[in-house]
Amino acid sequence: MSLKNKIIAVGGGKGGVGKSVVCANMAVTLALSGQRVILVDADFGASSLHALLGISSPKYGFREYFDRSGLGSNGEEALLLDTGIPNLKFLSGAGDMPGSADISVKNQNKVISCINNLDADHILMDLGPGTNFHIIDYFNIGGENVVVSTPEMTSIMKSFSFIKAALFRRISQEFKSSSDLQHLIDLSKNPGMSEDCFEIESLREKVEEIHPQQLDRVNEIIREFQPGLVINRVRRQKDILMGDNLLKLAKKYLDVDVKFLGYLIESDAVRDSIDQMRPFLIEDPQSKPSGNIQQIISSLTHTNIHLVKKDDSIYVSQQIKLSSGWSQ
Amino acid sequence: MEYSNSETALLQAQASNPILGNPLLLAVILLFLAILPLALRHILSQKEKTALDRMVERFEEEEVRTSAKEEPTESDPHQEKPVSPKNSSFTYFLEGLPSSQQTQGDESTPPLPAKEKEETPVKVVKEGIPISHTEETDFPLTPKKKIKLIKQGSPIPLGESKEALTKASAESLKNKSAAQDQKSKQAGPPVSEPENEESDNNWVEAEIPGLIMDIPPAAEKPKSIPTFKAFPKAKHPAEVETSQKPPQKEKQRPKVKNIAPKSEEIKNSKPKKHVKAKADSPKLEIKILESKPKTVEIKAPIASHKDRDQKATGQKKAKVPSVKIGKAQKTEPEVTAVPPQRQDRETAPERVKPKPFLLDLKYLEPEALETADPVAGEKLPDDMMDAMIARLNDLQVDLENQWVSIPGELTPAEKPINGSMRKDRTQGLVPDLEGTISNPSDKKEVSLEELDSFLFTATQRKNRE
Repeated sequence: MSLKNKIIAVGGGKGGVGKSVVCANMAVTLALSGQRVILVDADFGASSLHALLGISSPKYGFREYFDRSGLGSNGEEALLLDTGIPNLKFLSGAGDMPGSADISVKNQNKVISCINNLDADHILMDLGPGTNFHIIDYFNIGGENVVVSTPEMTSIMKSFSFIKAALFRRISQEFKSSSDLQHLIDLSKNPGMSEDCFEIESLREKVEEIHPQQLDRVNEIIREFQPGLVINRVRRQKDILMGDNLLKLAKKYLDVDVKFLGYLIESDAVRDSIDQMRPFLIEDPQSKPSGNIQQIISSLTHTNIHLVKKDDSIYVSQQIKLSSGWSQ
Repeated sequence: MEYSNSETALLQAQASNPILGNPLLLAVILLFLAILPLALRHILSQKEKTALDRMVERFEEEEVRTSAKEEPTESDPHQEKPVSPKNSSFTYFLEGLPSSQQTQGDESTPPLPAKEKEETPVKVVKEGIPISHTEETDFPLTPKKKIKLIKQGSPIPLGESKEALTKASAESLKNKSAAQDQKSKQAGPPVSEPENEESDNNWVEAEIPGLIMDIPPAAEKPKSIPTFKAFPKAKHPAEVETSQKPPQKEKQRPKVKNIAPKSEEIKNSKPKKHVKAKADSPKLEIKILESKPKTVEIKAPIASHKDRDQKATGQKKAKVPSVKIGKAQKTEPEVTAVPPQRQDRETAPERVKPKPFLLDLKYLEPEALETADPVAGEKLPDDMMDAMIARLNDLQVDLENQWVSIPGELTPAEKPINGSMRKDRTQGLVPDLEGTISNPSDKKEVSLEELDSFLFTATQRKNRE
């Protein structure tokens, strides 16, 4: 599998767009394809990923990791829960106590450290909604970034804001030492600024004006940032075109090349799987939503993955996708 | 020339008695004798009618003088008022009707709970001659309304009007005039007329509740006389001329008759339902003075709900519902048309709900019906489910066949649907969705430009430029 980065962060600006469903089934697909996968629930305070996997009450999770009371000698590995799916482990962030979503900087660093220390082929992070820095930082630690959106206009707009926030946060983190640049692009550090850098072109102009030697690095960060887009709950072709609109807007204002990974149709199979607390890929890997997920994974890993269920056993076939070079 | 015996006898009779002997003359006399009682009866009725008219006119003149004297701030009721919810034609036609009916006519207006009891249904007493109100119980709830209005702080500026009303009511009691007389229409609006008291909450003006509120219970009795007599004419813009030009009255009467549902129509129309509620509702008695053949028109109280809606929307020419009573004996069935609608709603039998289409026997096996127990929450048999699904599919096909494609809108195949059919519908769309972005000519629901215009970033760029 040619996936270069093992951490895949699945986020999106808007809540309820299906981030957890997409993330869980992506993880199942990767796990069924033979990869060792850890699914991380980073939606602190509003986690639901464990329920999608049929885990009613996670025994361990980040809560124990924060105080280290429940950890044994195995360290982070002790936090991983078995999902019943081969090759798939789960790290829960469940907790519904008030304030559980407000993670301190210390604990946030712990989370990032924990995820980086996990041993797996792929780590899929399910993030919470919003564009606060906690979420954005989790998103940015992913080698692959997947933005999930629905076709609705509001969701598309939120996704654009999410991508913009992630890009600007990357630049801001890159130039921590430069307070001038920090103030330019971080409203939290300069609440009274006039938002001169509202788009990437204006930011480039400011960077060229203040630190011209850093402009190349800024452009490199922009070039490296290539989030993927998944449109969920698609019912018609027009819905996919909304994703195309997001790609154009991101290119126009952020100069970011967003990759369209695929879509997930709206289907009762998805809803039923949520109610049954079983990923729909397990129920029927040949259903249409399952095919959508396999297509997303194929776009992400540049492989063709086909799962077939027969006699209660799931078989996988993989073919490396060869690019001719002409299409690139 | 020889005559027969009979002819000879006839000739002899003619010679002896020229009257009896002439059969033609005899026939004329018999015809005259037959017509004479009818003519006399007609003349007598005309005389009585004229006398009654005089009484009514006298009463109305007094009322007009009283209202002009006691309500100097109010505009002349004969003058055309500016159209407003209060004195619009809609309000005019709603006068004298239960407030609930008005509320029904204007669905946006919340009903006043206190007005439910303000309905003044009309009861026509068959044998009675005078039109008068019955006991105090005819308006049992008017005091409640006025109390409520006082508490709400509604101004009651017409302190004198109540006296005028009392006076006019006393006059009307003395006269015992038949307010249902057609000629009474030409008079101006009575002082005591509750012009808009039955209308919705916004339309209630201070003087009207004040008038009602301050009436002593005994003085309320004749209040219905003007209700049946003259109140609509001067208020309705289209009939102002009628009240001002009595000679044209005869010409305009057919208009009234034409726009009013006849008694037979009313018998068969919706207000007939309200007969059931009559016993429980507060009644307003109408005692018809005559038992002789006479035409009495009772206006306004029998307006149907549909008519009022039409008046409110102005879609049709306003109709004055009236009951034409040809004879006194015929008044009884017409009484049944008096509609206290709200109470009728309460007492009306519930409509039989149609069976759900899914449970149509046509699509279900008898065995499935017997075994199915939806009340107990048991799982439906597979056969029943199959039948229901088949029925749904049939309906879906029918619906799609009935669709008319409108350019620029989604076709049925693209329409998102809810319910259990979503899966099939979505799967039906899948072939169109396979692959990536295709069919770029397909119209977008939200264009890129629209999206762009809503982005903060785009706005900032525009501001900068």
